[in-house]
Amino acid sequence: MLNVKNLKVSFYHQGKIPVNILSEVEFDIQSGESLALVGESGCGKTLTALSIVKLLPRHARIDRGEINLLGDNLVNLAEKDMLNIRGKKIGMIFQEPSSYLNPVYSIGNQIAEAIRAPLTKKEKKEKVFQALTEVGLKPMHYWQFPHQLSGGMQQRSLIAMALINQPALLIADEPTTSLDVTTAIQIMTLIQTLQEKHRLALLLITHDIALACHFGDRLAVMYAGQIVEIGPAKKIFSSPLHPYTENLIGCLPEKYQPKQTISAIPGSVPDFRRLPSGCSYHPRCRYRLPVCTCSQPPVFRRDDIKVRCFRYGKTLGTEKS
Amino acid sequence: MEKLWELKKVNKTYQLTDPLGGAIRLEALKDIDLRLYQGETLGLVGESGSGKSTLGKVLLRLLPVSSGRIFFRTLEITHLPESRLRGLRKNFQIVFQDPYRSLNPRMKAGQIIMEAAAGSFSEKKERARKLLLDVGLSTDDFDRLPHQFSGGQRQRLAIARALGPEPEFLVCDEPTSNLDLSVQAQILNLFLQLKEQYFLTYLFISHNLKVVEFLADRIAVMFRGRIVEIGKSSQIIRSPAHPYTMSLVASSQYRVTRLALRTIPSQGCPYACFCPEFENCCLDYIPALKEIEPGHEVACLIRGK
Repeated sequence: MLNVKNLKVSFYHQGKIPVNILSEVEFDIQSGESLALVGESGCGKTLTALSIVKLLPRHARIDRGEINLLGDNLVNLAEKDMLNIRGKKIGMIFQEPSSYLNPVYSIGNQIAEAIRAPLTKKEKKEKVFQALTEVGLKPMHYWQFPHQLSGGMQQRSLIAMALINQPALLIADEPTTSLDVTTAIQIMTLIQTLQEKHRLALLLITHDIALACHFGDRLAVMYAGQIVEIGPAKKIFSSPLHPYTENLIGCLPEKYQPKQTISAIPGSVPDFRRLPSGCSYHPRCRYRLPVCTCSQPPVFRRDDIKVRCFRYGKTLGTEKS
Repeated sequence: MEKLWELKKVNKTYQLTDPLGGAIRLEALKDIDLRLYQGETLGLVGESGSGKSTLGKVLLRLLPVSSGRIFFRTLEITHLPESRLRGLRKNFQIVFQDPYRSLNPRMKAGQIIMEAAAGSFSEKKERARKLLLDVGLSTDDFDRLPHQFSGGQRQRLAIARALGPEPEFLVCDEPTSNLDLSVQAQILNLFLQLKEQYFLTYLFISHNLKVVEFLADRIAVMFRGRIVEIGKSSQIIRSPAHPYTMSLVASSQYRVTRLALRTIPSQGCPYACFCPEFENCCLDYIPALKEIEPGHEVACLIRGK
């Protein structure tokens, strides 16, 4: 369904050296499947999502790679054709629901505006009512304004808006970060139900690895612009391969008895302008090998997990992909 | 254990002006009775807008109470004049959520800590250097400005500043919610280490039950300005009694609780409109906290029997 191949995105600021952010990003999502993309802030998660819909910031450019959606390579598509992709084939929801709703239009009005099919006013209204019910809102919310809804209800109306044209792919960028825990779980469950019902492909972007493993079928872990590990979510959560994934899961306070010391990752996230040589995780890695400091690890395959780490180079059935 | 803080029937009402005219009364805290003991960590959880931060600020007299009494040890500070509070304030400090907005961007790290410390110039400088090391920064950071630090480092600096006057009590208002998982882990470790080192008492405010469970000895759960349940961490997490706490615990384990959404008169139990265990008697009066097992209190008519 969606297939991203060897994607490379860099920032070109005038008069400055280009900064490479995403490199060799590869993943695919089948319809009816959810892929959770996890990583810390500034690792390139959102940039990956923006590349897919080609809404990159002004200075960023896709250097190479393919983004195949239903047979089209979006990288080569003209802006005019992208208009038929965004909204129609790809729906998106974001973190802060209130900032994506227009305060002076009613909810129903805004959802109806998103409808791309040539329908009469009455048909559109009918469709919006249906969509509202589907996301757990009531028909009366059609006439209400964003400020009258709670954060969770606003997010629900944005989900209705994203799904109104029956897209094939839904990109959810931190959909629950600004919501309360109880609401967040309701929203995630709603997204999951709708995804299964409409056989959507879901790209779930989040920094919460526990949430990602719970709601994603597959998990992709990103570090410094590269996917370091990708595979079945539950499997990775219980036995992570890449040292970064292992350390990240080890940072969850619920993995410890109260007041035990958490085994935190030493150091901090690297600056994209000064990435370490070789594997970009090597300065923080406790399993560092001599080779890690000088060359970039290729992707190694272990069963259904792909991992970018030299530890899996020799011993395991290797295949460079 | 020695009692450090006591709140008696504390109420806090915000008077807001409606943009369309008229005044709005927002009741942020309602009849809060709370005790904090020396050396413990009390976790405070609840949804946003439930009054968690207001409680932290009212406690430190950063906000005046509307009614009720606040005791620090045996001293009542409810209406203590600011001149006398100043001397006391070195005993209780606060760490805020956003380390980007709680540090003066024009002051160097060392100055920020020195401003909070007491003593002669050289003593203050010495203290600032020691605190920088204690919170995991280096003495080279003394002359750096806040914008030269990462989010996690800024939070460390904010903690160092709070420790400047050698307090015995810290309010930590969502100190890790803006941080990444790996940085959060480092800061949580730091809170544990500092508690041992300086014999601190914490009021730890967070919406993340997992973080609170990890750090706190006791947990208080707030809903719409009231404490609806309080008890030892293990009691709250393993055997939550209030239906709201149950839904919080379920959510933190990624389970959905079916919430009833009923329209009922706004009287009686504040949780009645969501409560799956609602009975008509819930509308009769507002339940008070009632002990159901030693140290475990719940404000629920059904559960508190």
